[in-house]
Amino acid sequence: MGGSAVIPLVSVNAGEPVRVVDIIAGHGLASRLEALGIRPGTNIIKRSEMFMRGPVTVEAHGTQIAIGYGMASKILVERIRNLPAKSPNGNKDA
Amino acid sequence: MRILLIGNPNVGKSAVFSRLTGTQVIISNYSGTTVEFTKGSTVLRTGETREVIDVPGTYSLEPTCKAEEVAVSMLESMLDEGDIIVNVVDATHLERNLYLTLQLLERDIPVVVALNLWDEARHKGISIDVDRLENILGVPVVPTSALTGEGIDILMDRISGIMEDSDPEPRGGLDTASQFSIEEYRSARRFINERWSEIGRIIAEVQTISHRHHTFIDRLEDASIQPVTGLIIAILVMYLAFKAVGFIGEGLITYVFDPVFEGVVRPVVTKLGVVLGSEGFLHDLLIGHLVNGEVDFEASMGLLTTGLYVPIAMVLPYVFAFYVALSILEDVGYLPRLAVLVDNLMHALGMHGYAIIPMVLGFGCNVPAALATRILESRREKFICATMLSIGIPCMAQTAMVVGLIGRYGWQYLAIIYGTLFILWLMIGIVLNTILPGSSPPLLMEIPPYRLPHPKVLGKKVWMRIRVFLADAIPYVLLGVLFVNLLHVSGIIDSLSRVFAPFLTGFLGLPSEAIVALLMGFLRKDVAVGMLSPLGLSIRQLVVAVIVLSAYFPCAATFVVLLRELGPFDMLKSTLIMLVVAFGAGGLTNLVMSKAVPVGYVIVGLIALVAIILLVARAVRITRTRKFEG
Repeated sequence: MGGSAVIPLVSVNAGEPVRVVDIIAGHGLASRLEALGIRPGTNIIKRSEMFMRGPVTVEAHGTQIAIGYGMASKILVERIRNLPAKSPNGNKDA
Repeated sequence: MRILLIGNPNVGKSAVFSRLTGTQVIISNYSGTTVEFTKGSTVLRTGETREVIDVPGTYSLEPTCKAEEVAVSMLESMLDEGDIIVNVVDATHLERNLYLTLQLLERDIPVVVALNLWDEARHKGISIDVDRLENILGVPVVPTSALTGEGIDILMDRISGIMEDSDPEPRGGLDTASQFSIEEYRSARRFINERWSEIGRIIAEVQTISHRHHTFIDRLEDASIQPVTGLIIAILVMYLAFKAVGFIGEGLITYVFDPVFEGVVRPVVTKLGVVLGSEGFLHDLLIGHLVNGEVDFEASMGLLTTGLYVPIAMVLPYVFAFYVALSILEDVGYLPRLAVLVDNLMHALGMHGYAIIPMVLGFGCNVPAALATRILESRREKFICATMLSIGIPCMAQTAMVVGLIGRYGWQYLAIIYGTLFILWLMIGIVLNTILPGSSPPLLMEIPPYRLPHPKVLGKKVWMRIRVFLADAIPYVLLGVLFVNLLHVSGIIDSLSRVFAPFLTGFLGLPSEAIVALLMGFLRKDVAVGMLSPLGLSIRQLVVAVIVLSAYFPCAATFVVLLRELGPFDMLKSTLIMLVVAFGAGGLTNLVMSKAVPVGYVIVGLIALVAIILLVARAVRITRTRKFEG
């Protein structure tokens, strides 16, 4: 899919595979996310979002991670239609 | 020469520790079960004994949050020459785990990698070329499944092998640092990027994943974090847990403990009572006061009657039932999902969702709950959590006594007690969140996969907790009963009763003898509630007394832990809040239940009070910001 738009993680639908493009946050947040394996270039799938700006749950490298809404809105992603063949484990057939 | 177990949270470090040392430690399926260093020892193949240390989990050696900071700084200060590190790695999440591994390899410490959760990885269709990984990393890599014990022997062989080497090779083939020039080294960002691409290369070489279909567990995992299905599941889980605890607890009392006490203990103590002459100091101390000529296990207050009956026949069955339910929830991995669900609510109370874990633990015992506040980020969060815990969360020992004492009057009185405590819990959170400067940190945590509990591991954990309960409870209860008897004999009780009479009678509507229970409450809540039994209180007085007892002060054991966790100043503040809230709530309950004030007035009054506090706090904050800006 060409010309993919960059959107914050919170506006992605559940179940949609996306790739992290940028994390617009200070060093602290970026490194916390990085330690959990979420960094620019990582493919993730959003699994759920609680109502009323509750935490967003994503799957990255086969691990589920809950991210507070504020943090999740600082993670910019782009949609990817086809995951590469060598997909991170646990990724579901979308 | 020690062995340090290091790894990401929830990879099974404590399970490996337990296997290596034979020491039993609490292990669960969520991050942050281990908040302290645990020490044990193991015997190497050479016959030498070595100390093993279980380090709390961390994702990185560059700490990214408070909990990790503690782990890393403790680690830095502990590492000595000659120590070896066992890096416990989650084989199902190799990629993320290797980040810490590479950081460890960059240091001059011998490392053995335990590729744990190997069985689960196999099950998930993940295969890892162990020999290749060993070659790339240049250190021993051993696949293990610590829960079943698979691979632990080989791990031990490899550890012994390294420790035997008097001059062990500091590192193997991988030399990340030398691949870059010093200039590049200086650019930390670039260095981290290199680490990740290095990991990418390693993963591409050693790991293959076969396609896996959606399983029922996957669906359940998804459903429990979706808003609607998640709430339904949470309510169902809580309801089932509650029912199970009631069923098991009651069943054990009715069919096991009561028959034993009636059939075996009663004849013995009755005979002993006759031998002791049916009166006198020794009789009163051991057997207690007879009620209608007979021993009353709940009210006699003798060391051999009430002193044994309360902890064993009234409290233990419920404590056991609670720990079975809690341990299942822990090992399945449900609690972090609950944290996601309640994150919004907990933010309104000044904490993030993970704070629900100490709260849930608190219903069992406030001591481990107070320790678990360490998984919270800030001092502010810890303070709020500790205060809410002490006021609003009665432990299982106390609950068991309350159910035993008040349940017979009808469930509505239990509802009044627990409803009041819940309202206090909420109010404290909302008010503290508003008046304390700062805000609640955002949630960021790993959610473990659902796992079927291992019956043996589960059984061990329940048994450990029961053992801790018995070791703590019985001496304290006996001490408490002894103490009360001494107070009675010496007449101190009478003078204390007189001093506090105006307050107790006038304000709380309790008889002045209730001071005994309040004094006992500093030591242990279950005995304190038990002491209300012989006073012949009305149900209104019982409800008021139980609310005050629950909220006014943590028990001695919890107090000690909180004092250490919060520091004296915060603990003093927290204690003042507890006292004011507890006696305020007790006084109001007394007024409402004696129909002196309609309940509607109290509700409106409380809402108004909270609203005023919120408005004032907001006004103060606005003026402060203006001042700052102007």
